[in-house]
Amino acid sequence: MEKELEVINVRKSYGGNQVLESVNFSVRIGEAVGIIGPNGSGKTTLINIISGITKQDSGNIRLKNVDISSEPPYRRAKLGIGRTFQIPKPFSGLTVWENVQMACTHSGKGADTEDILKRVGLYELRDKKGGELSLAQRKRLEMARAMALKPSLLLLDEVFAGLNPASVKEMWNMLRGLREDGVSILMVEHVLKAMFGLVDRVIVLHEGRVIYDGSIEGMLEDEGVRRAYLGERHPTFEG
Amino acid sequence: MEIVFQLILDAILLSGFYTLLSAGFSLMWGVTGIINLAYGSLILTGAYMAYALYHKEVSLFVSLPLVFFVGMLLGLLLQTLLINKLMDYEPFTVLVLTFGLDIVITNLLNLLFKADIRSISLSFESYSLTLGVLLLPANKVLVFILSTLSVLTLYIFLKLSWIGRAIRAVSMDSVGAKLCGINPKRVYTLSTGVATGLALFSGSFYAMLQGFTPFDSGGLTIKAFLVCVISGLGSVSGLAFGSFLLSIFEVFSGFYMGEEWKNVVSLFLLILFLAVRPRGLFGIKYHEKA
Amino acid sequence: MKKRDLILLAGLCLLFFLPSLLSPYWLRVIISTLFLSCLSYSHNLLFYFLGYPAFGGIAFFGFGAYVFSVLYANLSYPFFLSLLLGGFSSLLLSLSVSPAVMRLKSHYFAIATLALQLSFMELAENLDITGGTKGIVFKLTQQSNLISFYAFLFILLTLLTFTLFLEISNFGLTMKAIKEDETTSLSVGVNTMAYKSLAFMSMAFFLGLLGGVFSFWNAYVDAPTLFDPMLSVKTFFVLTLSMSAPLFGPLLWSWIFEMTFELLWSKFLLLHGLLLGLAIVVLILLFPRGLAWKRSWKL
Repeated sequence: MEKELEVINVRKSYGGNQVLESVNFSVRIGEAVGIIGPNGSGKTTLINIISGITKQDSGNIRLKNVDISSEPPYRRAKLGIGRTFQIPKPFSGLTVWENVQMACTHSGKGADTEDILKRVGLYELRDKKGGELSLAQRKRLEMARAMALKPSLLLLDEVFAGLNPASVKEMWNMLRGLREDGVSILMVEHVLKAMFGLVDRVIVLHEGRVIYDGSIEGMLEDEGVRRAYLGERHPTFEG
Repeated sequence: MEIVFQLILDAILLSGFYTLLSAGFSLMWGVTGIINLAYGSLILTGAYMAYALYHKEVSLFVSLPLVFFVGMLLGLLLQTLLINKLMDYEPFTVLVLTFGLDIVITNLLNLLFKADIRSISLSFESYSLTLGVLLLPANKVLVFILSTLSVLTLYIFLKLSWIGRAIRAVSMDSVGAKLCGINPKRVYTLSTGVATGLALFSGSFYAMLQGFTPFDSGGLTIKAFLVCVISGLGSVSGLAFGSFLLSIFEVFSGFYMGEEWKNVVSLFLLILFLAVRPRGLFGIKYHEKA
Repeated sequence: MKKRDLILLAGLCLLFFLPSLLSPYWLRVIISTLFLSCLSYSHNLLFYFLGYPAFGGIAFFGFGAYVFSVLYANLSYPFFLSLLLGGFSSLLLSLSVSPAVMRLKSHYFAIATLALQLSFMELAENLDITGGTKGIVFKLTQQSNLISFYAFLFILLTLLTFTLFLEISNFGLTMKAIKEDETTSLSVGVNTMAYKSLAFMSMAFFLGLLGGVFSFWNAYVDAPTLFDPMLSVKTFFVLTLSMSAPLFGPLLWSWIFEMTFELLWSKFLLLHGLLLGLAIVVLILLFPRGLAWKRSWKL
């Protein structure tokens, strides 16, 4: 199958601190991949590098076989990479409608603001300011804004974190729907349970390296992953 | 050839003063995240105060510490009465505030002292030491020595004292410092106090080095800013190097192109640095608010 | 709504015929009002919409003014051509420094423009073409007040239209989004640098034009007049008050400011600067978000 995204030998360090040490993996078109790993394992940095917010020290990012390593973030967005942030950042002074409309205008792909708002269930709240929303609503607004780009690849940074079970379910359904539309998804997640039935594959990141790449079931059996987590009662396995 | 050595020597002597001048600006910026546009007028306040004291024939040993402590008091008041009120709003409100303060102080000085050029001529001004063919004017040497001593004192204070450690902790991570039981607002107040003290203190040296008017403040603020931009925040040796670079440019352009060009040259240096290396040569992380 | 629009329109028509109704003294006062509000609207393109306070924006004003003065007074170019060239040279200047300064955060930006202002001022005093410290003197004509009035009025109306356009268009919306969060804007596909540069360039263009008209009106230019920090002070005084009313705030507050100035403050010429500075300090402390405006007044 053809590749949506390839991450090749990506390295990143801050000061003397090596956050990512030669990370390699790929996402096939239409595939959903989850990235897990303890805090500080470089997950968010990786998402930032793929979306272009952070510049890698070396290595390449390829989108559909085109090298986008030196493209600025706004170009990557137009090329079809949509993303959400760990702490949702809606434009708080803009209304919900304006938030999404802006993304629709700039993607240049003719997405319809009304459609998207109805789809994520924010249509009734369209005149509210971004800053007045609850956390769950903010996360939905971020999803809406990412969807406005009509992305082929969606980068999700902990979309389930901080949501109550009902909202987790809603978000889960929304993501299922996107998968059915053929959107490729790369998600960083703490809540392992939420990824069951959603992702095809998991990548485990530990101390800046990929230590596992395969099915969820296989991961639980994997010796290397166990060793990395040994002695740590990590929420990943309980959530 | 001797002239080049003489110019380098002049630059070294001047750089001691610039290090002191920018130390307060850097401290305030690094800890509170505030770029204090009133800094130049605070320096001039110190200059006028030293000038007034000098004409009352107060000895330097009394007037220098006095200027510092008055400045510190002023800074404490400034932070508690004015700046703390705005710390929770958008950063540019503080910028507008210091912009307004600069105008207030400049105009007050103008009302009190008129716009004539003033200066302090020390009794031993005419003496010069000589070092082979090189000339060392007494006032410049005195300012260099006192400035360097003051900067070293500041360095030791920040490094060793409990207060100094608290200040450094807050500048690195104000949330973490809070968890250790440090009250950031108090540290902000303290560092603005010390910074303002340093501003006034360096003002008294400014008065010994050259003539001044109330309207020099913009240029002085930009000098302090330039040194911080060259060196990045958080290291005293960085400040010294930045000051040296600025002095070299000023002294040489002043000599070879004419006095009226030296400010133009240093301002272009600033713009160049902002364009090429806004984080400075020794760029230690800028405060997040900056 | 309808009624207010009519009043506005009537007001503008009145403004148009104002010169024939007023004594030369009051005409000058009105021109100062127009001038100040034009300065404020120009700076607001960057300040209100992007959060960049150009404390030294007067650099572009002075630059445009000198280009105009040299062309018009020394080389006898036609008035409008010189004016336009003044505006465009400021625009080009901003274009050339834009990659450097628009990358900066607002604090650095503010001080970078200040540095630009001070260095231009020193340059102007040391170059021959600017007349050095002697400046450039214009031939005064009977019509100069009248022409300046209409030129300022025209620029004001253009700026108002531009501001209105930004308030209601996607373009302005995008600028406000960038002001709030540049990273997020980038990730939804906004070329933030392009928007910031455009805003910066339009500010510089209008300031350059204003510099030209001001020089003509003043009939004499030198560095301290053109790079006068008081111009920025007055501008940001007005803008601080208008932070939540970008459309009519600057006009209203410029009016109030110039009137008070004429009626009261000209009697305390020495205290003028001090009072202005105090006013800025007090106002920002009292209204850190700008004066509260009723929502319905906003447009």
